[in-house]
Amino acid sequence: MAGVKDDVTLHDARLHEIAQRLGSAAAERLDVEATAAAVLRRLRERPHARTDWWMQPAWLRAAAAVLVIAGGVALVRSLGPTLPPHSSHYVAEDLNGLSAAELRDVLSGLDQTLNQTAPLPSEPGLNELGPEQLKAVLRSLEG
Amino acid sequence: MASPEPVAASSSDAALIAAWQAGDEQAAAELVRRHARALARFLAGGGAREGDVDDLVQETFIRAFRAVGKFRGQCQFRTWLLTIGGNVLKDAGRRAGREKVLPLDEALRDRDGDPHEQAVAGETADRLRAGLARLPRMQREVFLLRAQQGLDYEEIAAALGTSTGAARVHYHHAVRRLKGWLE
Repeated sequence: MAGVKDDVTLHDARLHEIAQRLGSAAAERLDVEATAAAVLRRLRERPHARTDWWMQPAWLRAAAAVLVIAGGVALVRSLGPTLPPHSSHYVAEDLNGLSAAELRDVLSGLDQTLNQTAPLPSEPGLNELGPEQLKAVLRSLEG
Repeated sequence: MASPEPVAASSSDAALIAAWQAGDEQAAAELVRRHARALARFLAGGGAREGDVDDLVQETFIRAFRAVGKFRGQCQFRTWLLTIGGNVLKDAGRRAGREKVLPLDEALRDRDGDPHEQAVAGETADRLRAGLARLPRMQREVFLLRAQQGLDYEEIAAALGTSTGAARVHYHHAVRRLKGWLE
């Protein structure tokens, strides 16, 4: 690839020279010993603050998405086939903008919602839904 | 988590990392001493405000020490640290929710010599910094790792999880665009 060969022209050398100076003032001003002490202090203050895999935002988003879908299904089951078909899809998309703390709030809120709706003995299971109701459930899971 | 014996300043990074994982705080302190200034230069070159550099350096080391179990020696510890610094910088910019404010490079301003030459050099540095801020993140980081930190393409590619050829292309795209803006 002739256009990307590793040539260093005079202009490139000048560019490197300027780039090497970038941030040199900040580096010189940095108190390295104080930084090392501060890092150790912060590590001691939060020794167990490491992020376990199950606490990663990606897992939280996935778990929240599952719960939102489950909530959507519960809602469809309670409202019947008149619900607009893509509501849970839009809700799930909204999760992308949430922080980990906000996602935890969503999770805890949904837990409460599901706990309130699950024990209803008169609620039909999926086997008892009619074709239109099943289509509505499937539509709500699209996306 | 005190170490029974002080860690030697001449120990390799790998030995210091192993000592830190075994609970030796002084090993972590030595790694900070060894790499903090290079990290500060990288962060400042990447657009960090001068007043934020200290905090960003600390945050980068904390993330690195907590995640050091994931470091497999695919590149030098410093290079791996710099890529974490890039993530810290990106997160800080997102939190701030604003465009990066580009500080003047006071190293160039404070230098002894011809004031006119200083002014020209300072202006060029400011334009380079502004140009770097306009580059896509990958191009900016590859350029800084290559031009500022002096790393080779193999090392850069290993750290950024890309191929050597891709790193080379990112660098040349960055140089071409920066030259266009500087000229």
